[in-house]
Amino acid sequence: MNKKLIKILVIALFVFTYTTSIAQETVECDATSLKATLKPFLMPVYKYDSSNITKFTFKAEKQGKEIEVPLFSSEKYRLLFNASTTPGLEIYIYDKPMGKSNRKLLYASKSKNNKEGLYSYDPETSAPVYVTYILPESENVGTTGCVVFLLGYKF
Amino acid sequence: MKKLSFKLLFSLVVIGALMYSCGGNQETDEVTEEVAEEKTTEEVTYMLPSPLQIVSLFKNAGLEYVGGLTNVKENVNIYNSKTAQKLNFGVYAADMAYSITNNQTQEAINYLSALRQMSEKIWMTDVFNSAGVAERLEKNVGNQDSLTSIMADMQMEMDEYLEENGTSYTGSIIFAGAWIESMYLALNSNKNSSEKIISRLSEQAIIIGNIIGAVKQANENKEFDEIIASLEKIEGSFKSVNEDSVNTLTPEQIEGLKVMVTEIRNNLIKG
Repeated sequence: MNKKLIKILVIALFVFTYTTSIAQETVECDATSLKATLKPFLMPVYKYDSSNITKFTFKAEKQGKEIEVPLFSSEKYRLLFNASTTPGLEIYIYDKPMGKSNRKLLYASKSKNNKEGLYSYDPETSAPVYVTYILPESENVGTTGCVVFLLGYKF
Repeated sequence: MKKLSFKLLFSLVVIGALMYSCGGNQETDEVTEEVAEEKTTEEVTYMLPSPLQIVSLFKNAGLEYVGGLTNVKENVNIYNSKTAQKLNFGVYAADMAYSITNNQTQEAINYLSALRQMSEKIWMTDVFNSAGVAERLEKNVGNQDSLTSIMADMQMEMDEYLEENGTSYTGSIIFAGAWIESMYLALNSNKNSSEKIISRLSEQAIIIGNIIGAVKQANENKEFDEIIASLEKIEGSFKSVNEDSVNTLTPEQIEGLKVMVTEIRNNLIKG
């Protein structure tokens, strides 16, 4: 009986450890390395100016977030995104904030078909732009991911 | 019977383990995440530029260097409150950018030293000690592009540090200080009332709302009420640009802005 009990406990411990590791298998947001992947795309014209990291937890319903980015007239910018840890994420860039009826779409990541999740946009107009992230509903509820947004500026 | 109870016991243990590991923990985490997320979804995130970009905008518009305008390095020791330290960290960052864009490398190195001291006060020691920034600045005296790259790298390291330590909001406070100092420098260095510089000063109307929004998001403990009030006062000066779609401020409005910004900045550097 004792041997059997030990067996049960060993198996239970194994199952517990294994399932716990699966449950906690969330994608870590290593912002430093995600940024490092983007940095070469600034060269040689642009230099790092600022950045934003948006963290997501996948849900059963669609979710969205918006970032207001001020850009000054006649200046050159490059907007870089690393969404490799958030599969399915869509990035849209508009000329006006969410809720404005006449806002114009300037960029959509969907049209780029980039499997690596890296996106680049050089705005033609130098006025504030509004970056909208849309994360579709997911079956992997509870899994986390992040998007790194890096703004390059031509000094 | 014995065999049956053994199987039953085994099944119960395994099911129990599965339920605990898959259900219990995850549920708690999810609730915490959802609450945090709902809160941020309601808010727009305000991206703020670097102090170096703001100073470069003025420099590229023809702003000339005027010695003696920047905050003195010795003031590092008078900033005792965390709010004053963060805001004046921004002031010194703008002063360093002003020195770099005007090829004042020794001044830039001095401000780097001030930033290091300030960073120790606000627990950011690692950012500048590890970078070997002073050595890089010395090696690149006169090379404008390299000096700019060094400062851009510093900004990136600082942003990463703040993000990793969950204190991104500090970046907004630092930028508020940097922006006030940049405006002060531009308004007081524009001796010939250059139209290009006035145009760039007027254009700052697009960013003042973002700064106020970002500082308000960081103001949970009401510690930044005073700086918010000052920024809102400055925002009032941009009313004609923001609401009436006027492109540039009039000379009178610029003069009014100069007086206001100078007063706010001088109070800021007193600590």
